[in-house]
Amino acid sequence: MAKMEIYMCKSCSKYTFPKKYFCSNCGSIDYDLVEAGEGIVKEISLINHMLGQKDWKPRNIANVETNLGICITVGIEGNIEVGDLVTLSSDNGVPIGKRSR
Amino acid sequence: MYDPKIIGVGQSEYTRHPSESQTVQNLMRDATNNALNDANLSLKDIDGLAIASFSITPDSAIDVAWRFGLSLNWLLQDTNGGSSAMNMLGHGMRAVQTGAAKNILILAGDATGLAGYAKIANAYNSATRDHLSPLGHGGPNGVYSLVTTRQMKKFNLQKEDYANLLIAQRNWASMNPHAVYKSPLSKEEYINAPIVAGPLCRYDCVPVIAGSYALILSRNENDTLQKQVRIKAFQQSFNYDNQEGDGTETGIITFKNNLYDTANLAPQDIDVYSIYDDYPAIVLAQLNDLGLIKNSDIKNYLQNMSNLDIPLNTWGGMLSAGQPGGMAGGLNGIGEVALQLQNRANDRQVNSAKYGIVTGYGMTLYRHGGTVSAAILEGF
Ligand SMILES: [Zn+2]
Repeated sequence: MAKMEIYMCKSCSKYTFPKKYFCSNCGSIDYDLVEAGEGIVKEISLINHMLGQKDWKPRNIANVETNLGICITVGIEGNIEVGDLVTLSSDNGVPIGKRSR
Repeated sequence: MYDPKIIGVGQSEYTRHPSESQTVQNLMRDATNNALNDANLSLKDIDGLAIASFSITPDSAIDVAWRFGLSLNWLLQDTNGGSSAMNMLGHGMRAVQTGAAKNILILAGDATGLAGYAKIANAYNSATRDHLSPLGHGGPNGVYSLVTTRQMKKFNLQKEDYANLLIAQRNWASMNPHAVYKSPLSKEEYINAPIVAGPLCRYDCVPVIAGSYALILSRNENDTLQKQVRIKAFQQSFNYDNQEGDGTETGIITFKNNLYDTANLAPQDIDVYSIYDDYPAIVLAQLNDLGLIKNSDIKNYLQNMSNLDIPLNTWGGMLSAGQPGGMAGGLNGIGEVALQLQNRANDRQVNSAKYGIVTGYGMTLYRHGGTVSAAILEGF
């Protein structure tokens, strides 16, 4: 999996995810990509049921506050608890968190 | 300027399992017929149409106008999900005020079926399609499970605290002949219900149904009614926090004072309210932002609402009566307050109701909804 990257406004350095067409702070249209790195798990939800699917295997999603300060919604690999430090990676632009060693 | 009034309401049957003939068009036809009869108007009197539906594709508002035999001066199609109903009310209000239309049919309905709804939920917008659905987030349930957890932390709530809201709405639904769930809900049933997306259980997630609801907005009064209903104040907020807040507040905080000031009223003057109820946490967030929860003590508010003392979502809300695609659910809440203010809500009637609040909330962007609207209605 690739590194998880967050958009940083070239003009005012505000972070955002997903990408916006204009920076909500300064209106700039240019971004740099910054590695999200690690983050803290703030809330977890175990998705037990998926609309329209009978053989669904429950899985966790979480709200993670990245070290950059921005919160993103991620899928979780392996066991996880609120407060855990997770390493973020990207599966085709989809953020995945795994407990950091 | 004309003074727009809600002069008629009507709905179709609401059903979890639509028959072959219960297509969205047939359901909308039924709701329209009932609303026209209620308003004492005929199709020929309608010169404006506002419509919202996930299910009419590939048709658009003009196709529905044609199939319904409507020749119009004013036409609107709204695609803003849970706040479509309020959006249509606002646009319709201004159209009647300015004379662009005399009698507007505001119509919403859906018959997506569960599979159709799942498809809509997973590709609700590009952010959901690209960044949430691939996680297996379970549609809006996953988004609002996280918002609910944040609300529980912020307001020191336990899962069982929410039970009374669901129980109270179910009690109201028992008096609504159209509600899909009418039998009483016990606290034990709520606490032991299967978890859909933790902490949300089955009863925290709206039952998707097939159905349609219609309102008639007019410059004239309806002489067959003892009381008329007008729009005293109307406010909206779109994307107020760029999805950077935690979702435990709504855009209502940007317009709350304007809303009450315009109506020259205070929160304690409101007699009945329809608060858009896609999830219990969002009902509470809106009530709190509207200043309807004393000292923002949500726990205390919930502990004291086990019976019918609080005139909240007196039709049972979408959580008990059913959610036809969100849009018609929003219209039903508006229509219910109109019925209450016209003193014709039957068994559900709230004593001497003069002012009501209606809201719409929706369009989950990434972390929570991006749209919210509220209006104060007056019976006179
Ligand atoms: Zn910027």
